[in-house]
Amino acid sequence: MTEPNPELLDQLAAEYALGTLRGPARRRFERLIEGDPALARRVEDWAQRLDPLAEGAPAIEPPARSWAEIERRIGAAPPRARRGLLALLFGRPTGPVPSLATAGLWYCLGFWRRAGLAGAAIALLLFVYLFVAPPPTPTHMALLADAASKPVAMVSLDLKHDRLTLDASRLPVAEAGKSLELWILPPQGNPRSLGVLPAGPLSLPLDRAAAADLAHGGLAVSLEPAGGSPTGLPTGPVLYSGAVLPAS
Amino acid sequence: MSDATLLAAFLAAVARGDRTALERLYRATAPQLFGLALGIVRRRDLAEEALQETFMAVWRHAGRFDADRGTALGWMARILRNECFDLMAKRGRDAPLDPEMAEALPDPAAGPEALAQGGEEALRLKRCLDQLEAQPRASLLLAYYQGLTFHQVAARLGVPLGTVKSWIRRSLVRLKGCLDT
Repeated sequence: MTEPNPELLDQLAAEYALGTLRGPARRRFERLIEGDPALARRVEDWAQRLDPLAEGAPAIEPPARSWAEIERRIGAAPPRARRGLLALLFGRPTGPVPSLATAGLWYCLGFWRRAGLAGAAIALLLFVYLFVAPPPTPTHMALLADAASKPVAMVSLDLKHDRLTLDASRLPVAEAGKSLELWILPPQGNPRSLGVLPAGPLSLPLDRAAAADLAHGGLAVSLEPAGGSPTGLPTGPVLYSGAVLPAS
Repeated sequence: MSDATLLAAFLAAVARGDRTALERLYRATAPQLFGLALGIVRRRDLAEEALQETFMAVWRHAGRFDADRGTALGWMARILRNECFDLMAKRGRDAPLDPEMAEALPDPAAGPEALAQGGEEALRLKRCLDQLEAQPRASLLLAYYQGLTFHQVAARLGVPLGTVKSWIRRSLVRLKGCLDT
């Protein structure tokens, strides 16, 4: 097979992003992008260039029933594994993931992005800035490390305001069908789940008991079936762990 | 804290399954997305459907948004436009337009003017668009804001298909040159 002309590919990528590539040609091109990260990157670059155009769209109020309908459909989404409020806070939306052909390519861009490039530090800072009030001064820290003592993630704890902040974006992604679950290791007794780790930054409130245990305990991450341990205790190997230490 | 960073933070919260954040995101962006959808599908019922599908997709896939690579609104607009194209393909391109809608349709040329109120990226794009000649620029904007194909743009502007193709392709190349420097 001959190599496609790069200029033509760039033109197609631009037309895909603009929307003038349509019908069967659009679907063929989507299949092409799926198997070609470099081409996907080109499309992403083009989409990014054109993204600001969305700000120029006129604002027209949709009818109230639109939101009501979205709320209803979300309510009808398959229930997640519930293990208390924290698990719910953590819970990742479940439900069928549409195929590329039906969902459009945009949803999978994170996939090849995640493969090589370091992630969401900015988002973490933002999130902390926005939602952690008062501004977080970590009272404690924990460095999560693997079995070879190689650090993989820093956890900040503000035990005055009962909040845990973690950027999980540098943790290796769990294999398909598996989840990474975060646990409190209290000074005494069984590990307690803090829920399944999201791919990016995380900031969550702790209850008093969790904060008290963390002040003198540790944190661990185990590999679990998708959605988290079915038993409420770690079932898979503990991949990372670290003791909680005072920050100063 | 700009609107764009606020929206990105909402998306981050939605990725963790926060329904309140989804509602805040909806309140902040639905009118603009609905306006964009109306411009493309030109029927209120289809625009509502596209909007709902978009927010369902955002609910399921918010974790895939990358704040380092584009704006939250832009990312949502990409999903929305894809939904619109899918809807039109499904219902047939000749689905009758809502006559009232045709009246109310915004002038695509107004888009870049509104960009002047946007963020830094929007302003930059506006400056680059302003460097294009009137008709090529209009062709490109008709394609984006009204989802028109090359054929439809040609019919609308009353020029040959080949002319529209080369206008749009040349405009894209010039935009790239202007934006990437």
